[in-house]
Amino acid sequence: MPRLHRNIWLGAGVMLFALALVFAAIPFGISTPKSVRSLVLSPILWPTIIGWCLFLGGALLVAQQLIGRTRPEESGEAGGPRPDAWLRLGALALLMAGYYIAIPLFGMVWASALAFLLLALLIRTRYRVTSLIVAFGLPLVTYAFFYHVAGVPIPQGEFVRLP
Amino acid sequence: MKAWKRLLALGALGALLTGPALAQYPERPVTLVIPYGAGGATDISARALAGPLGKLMPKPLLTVNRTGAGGATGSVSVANADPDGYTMLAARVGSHTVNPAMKATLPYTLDDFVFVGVYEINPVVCAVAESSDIQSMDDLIAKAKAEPGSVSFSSSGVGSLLHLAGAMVLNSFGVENPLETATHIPLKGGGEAATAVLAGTATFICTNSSALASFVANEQLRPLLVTTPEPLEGFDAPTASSLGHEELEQLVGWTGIAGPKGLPDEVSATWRDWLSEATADETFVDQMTKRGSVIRLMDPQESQDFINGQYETFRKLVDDLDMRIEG
Amino acid sequence: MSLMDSLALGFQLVFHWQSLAALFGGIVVGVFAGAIPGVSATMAVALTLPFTFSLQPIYGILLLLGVYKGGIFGGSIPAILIKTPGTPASSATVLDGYPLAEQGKAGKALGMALYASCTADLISNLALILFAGWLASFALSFGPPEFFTLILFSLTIIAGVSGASLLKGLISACLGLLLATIGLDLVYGTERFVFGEPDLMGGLNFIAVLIGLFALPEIISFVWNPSDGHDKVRSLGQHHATFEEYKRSFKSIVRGSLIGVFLGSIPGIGAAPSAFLSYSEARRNSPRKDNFGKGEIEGVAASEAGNNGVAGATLIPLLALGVPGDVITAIIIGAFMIHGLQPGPMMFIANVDIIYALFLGLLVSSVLLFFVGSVAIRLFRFIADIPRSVLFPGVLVLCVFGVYAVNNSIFDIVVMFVMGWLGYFMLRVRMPAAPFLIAFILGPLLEDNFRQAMLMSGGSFDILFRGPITWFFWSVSVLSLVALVRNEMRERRSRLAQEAA
Repeated sequence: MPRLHRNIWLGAGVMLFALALVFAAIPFGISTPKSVRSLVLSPILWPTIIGWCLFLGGALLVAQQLIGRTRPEESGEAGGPRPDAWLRLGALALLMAGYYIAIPLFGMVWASALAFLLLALLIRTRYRVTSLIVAFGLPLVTYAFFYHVAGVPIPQGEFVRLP
Repeated sequence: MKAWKRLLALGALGALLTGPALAQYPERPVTLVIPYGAGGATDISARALAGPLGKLMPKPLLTVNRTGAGGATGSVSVANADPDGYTMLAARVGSHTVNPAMKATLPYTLDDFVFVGVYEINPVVCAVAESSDIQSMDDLIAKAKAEPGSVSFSSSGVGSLLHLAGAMVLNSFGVENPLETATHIPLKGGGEAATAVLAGTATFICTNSSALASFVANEQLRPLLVTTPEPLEGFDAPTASSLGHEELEQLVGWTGIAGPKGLPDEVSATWRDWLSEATADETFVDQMTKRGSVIRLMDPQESQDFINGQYETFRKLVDDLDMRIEG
Repeated sequence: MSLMDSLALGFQLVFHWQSLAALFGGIVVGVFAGAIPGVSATMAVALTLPFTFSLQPIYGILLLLGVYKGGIFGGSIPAILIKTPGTPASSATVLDGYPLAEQGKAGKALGMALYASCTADLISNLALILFAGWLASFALSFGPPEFFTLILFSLTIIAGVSGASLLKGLISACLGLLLATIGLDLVYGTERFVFGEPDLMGGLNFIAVLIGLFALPEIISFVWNPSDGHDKVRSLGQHHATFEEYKRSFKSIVRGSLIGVFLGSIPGIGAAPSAFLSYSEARRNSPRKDNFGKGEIEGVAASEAGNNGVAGATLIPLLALGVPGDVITAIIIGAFMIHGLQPGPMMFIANVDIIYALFLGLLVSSVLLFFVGSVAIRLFRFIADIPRSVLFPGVLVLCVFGVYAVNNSIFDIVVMFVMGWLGYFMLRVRMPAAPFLIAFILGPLLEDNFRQAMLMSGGSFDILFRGPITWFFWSVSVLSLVALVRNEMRERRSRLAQEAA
C-alpha cells in the first residue's frame, strides 16, 4: 500500500470535522431564537462561515498535496514509530487525568507533588534527589505565595490541611 | 462527605457548649466570590467592604473574582458549594434579579441562595451625550416615537441591568414595544457601554450613577433622569417620581452578600453582626458615597423581600415585552 | 497657569522619596509577578489595588502604574525561558525568544527584550505627554464599523506567523475562531456550543488556552522523546545582546512602539494584538525574514516593543476621556475614583498637578524599569540552567497553579490540558499555533463589532464604509492581501526555477 502523505490525512480530517460541525454541532449546539430578524444577526452565521472556511482549507490542503506543489517542510520526528514512546504518551494522558481527579481529593499541593514525582519517573530523570526535593518544595512555595500573598484560595483536600 | 462534615460541626457545637470556644465559625479563611471582573462596580464594592470586614473576622477573608457569563459562572459556583459558610457570594442586581428574570437556561435560581444582607444601593441614571440635541426625557421619547429605529441604547450585555433598564424606562414613558422601536446595542462591559454613548454609537444609556459620575462631572454626558426619590447630588436631572413615574424607583442597582441554600443559622447570624459593624465603618462609607452609592444595610428578611419584589417587577416586564431568553 | 508652573508643581509631587519608592516598589512587584505563569499583569494590578487605598492618590497611582509596566515586561521572562507567556501580551515573544533560549542564547533574548521594552515604554510615554488630547479625540471616532475594519486588517498578520505553510496557518486560525465562539451569544444571550455545561457559559478562559497551547506541547514532546535533555544543559552562556543588534533592530523597535501607541490609544484592543502586529511587520520588512520563528533577535525586539508601546498609550483615553481601554486601566480608574479624582477633560483643569506628576513619574518609570529588569534577568538566569527532566515537571505544576489562580476554576485546568494535547497534535502535523491564538483573540472582536455595526444600521452593509477611517483600513487590508499573494507567487516561481535547475 502506498503511504499517503500526512497532509492528505490531515486535510481529509479537517474536511470531515468541518462537515460534522456544519451539519451536526451547529444545529445541535446553537439555539436560534425566534426573534432573529435578519440572517446577518443570527448567532449561527459566524460559526457557519468558519465551518465552510475550514472545509475549504482542508480541501485545498489535499489538493495541494496531490498536485505536489508544496514547499519542502522540515522532516518530521526522527526515526520510525516507537511503541515505548506511544506508551509514555498514554501514561502522560493518564497522569493528567489523575492529577485533575486528585486535586479535589488531596488538595492541589499534594496532588501536584505526586504528579511531579510521577512525571519525573516517566521521563526517567537522573536527578532523583533533586526531583524529590523540588516535588514537595515547589508546590509548597507556590501555595504559600498564592494563598498568603495573593489571597487565592488554593483547593485543599480532605486529608492534610495546610495553614 | 457532607454527613461527615455535619458530624464534625455537631462535635464542634458540643465543644462550644461544654468548653472554651475552640471551634467557632470561622475555623479557617472564608472565601468571598465576586462574580464580576476586577475594576467593576461589584468588585470595587466588595473589596471596599472586605477592608473593614477582614478586620472583624477572626480568620482572613479571601476575595476572589470568578467572572463569566454575566455573573452566572461565579454565582453557580457558590450555589453548588457546601453550605458551610466558607464560600460566600457578592451578589449583584445583574446576577440575582435581572438574569433570573430573563434567562430560562440559567443554571441557578433565586431559591439556591440565602441572603445575609443587602448593603449597598446604586441609583440608576439615564444619560445622553452632551453633543446630542436631546435635552430631556420628553425629547428622547418624542424622538423614539417619531422615527422608530432612530434611538438606540447601549448595555453591558444581554441580561444586564442596563439592558433591562433601557427597555423599562422607555416602556414606562409610554413607548410601546420599546425593543422594536429602539435598538439595543450590547457591548462587553459597563465601561464600553458608557463609551459607546460618548462616541455616538448609541443614543442613550441607563446605568448605575457610579459608572456615569465622572462623565457627567466632565460634561461629556448629560443626565436626563435619576430613579432615586430625592434628587441626586452631582446629577442635574429630574427624579422619576417628579416626572410621574414612581414605578421606576424599583429600578436600582444593589450589592449584597449571599450564601448557598442551607446556610446554618449561626453563620447567617454571625455575618449579620459582621455586616452591621463593617457597613458602619467610616472609611468604607466615605469611599462608597464618593462613588455615588447609598450604604444601607438590610436585615436578611428585608433583603429577601426587596430582592423578590424587584424580581417580580422585572419578571413581569420581561413577560410583557417578550424579552425572555429561551435558548 | 503656564506649562512651567504645572511642571514645577508636578516636580514637587514626584521627586519625593515616597513617590519614587512607590514607583520602584510597583515595578519590582510587577516584574516578579509577571514572571510567574498565570499571574498576568492584570492580576498583579488587581492584587495591588487594595494597598493603594490608604496611600495618597499620587503614590497609589504611581504604584499601580509601576506594577502594570513591570508586569508587561516580566511576562517576557518565562515566555523566553520556558515557553510559557507570563502574561497574554508576551505570547508573541515566545515565537523567537524560546528558540533563542534553546540555542543557549537566553541571555541575549532577555537583554533585547529589556532594551526593547524600555525604549518602547519611553516612546509610549512621550506620545502620551505630547499627543494625549489629539489621539484621544481620534480614538472616539472609532465605532463598531471602524473597529471591524481595523480588526479585519489585523487578521492579515496571520500570514506573517504561519511559517512554512500558509494553508495550515489558515486552518489553525479557523480553529481558533471556532473555539472563541463557545459561550453566550452577544446579541441574543443564547448559548453556543455550551451543551448545558455551566462552566462553558463564560467561554474558554484565554490564559488556559494560551498556556495549554504553548507550554504543554513542550512537555508532551519531551515525554515522547526524553533522551535529548539529560545531559544537554541549556545555559545563558556568554551571549549578551550587543549594541550592534540593538541598532539593527532599532527600526523595528520604533515601528513596534508606534503600533503600540496607536492600538493602545484606541480602547478595547489590548497589548497582545499589538505585539503580534509589530512582530509580523518586522518580519515583513526584515532582510532576514526566513530566520523569524527560528530564533531571530529582531523578532523578540519587535514583539516586546509592540506590547510595551501599549502601556503608556492606554493612559491616553483614561486621562483625556475617562475611558478605560482595557481591564488594567479599568482597575486604575477605580483607584482614581476611590481617591475622589475623576479622570477626564476636567482633570486637566482641576488636578493639573497630579497629571503632570503622573507624566514625570512615567518618564522616570522607563529608567527604573531598565535597572529593575537588569537585576531580574540576572536572578532568573538560573532557570535556564535547570536540567529539563526537573524543569518540565516543575513547569507542569506551575501551570496548574497559575491557571487555577486566574479565575479560581478547576475547570480551567481541564481546558488547559485539552488544549495541550491539541497543541501537541498541531505540533506533530506542523500546524503553527500562533495563528490559532491571534484568531482566538481577534475573532470575537471581529464578530461582535460586525454585529454591533449591523444593529446600528438595521442590517445595511453601507455602514461598514462610513467615513475615511473605514476606507483607510479597507484599502490597507486589500493592499496587504495583494502583497501576500504576490509574495507567494514569487516564492513559488523561484522554487520551480530551483527545481528545474
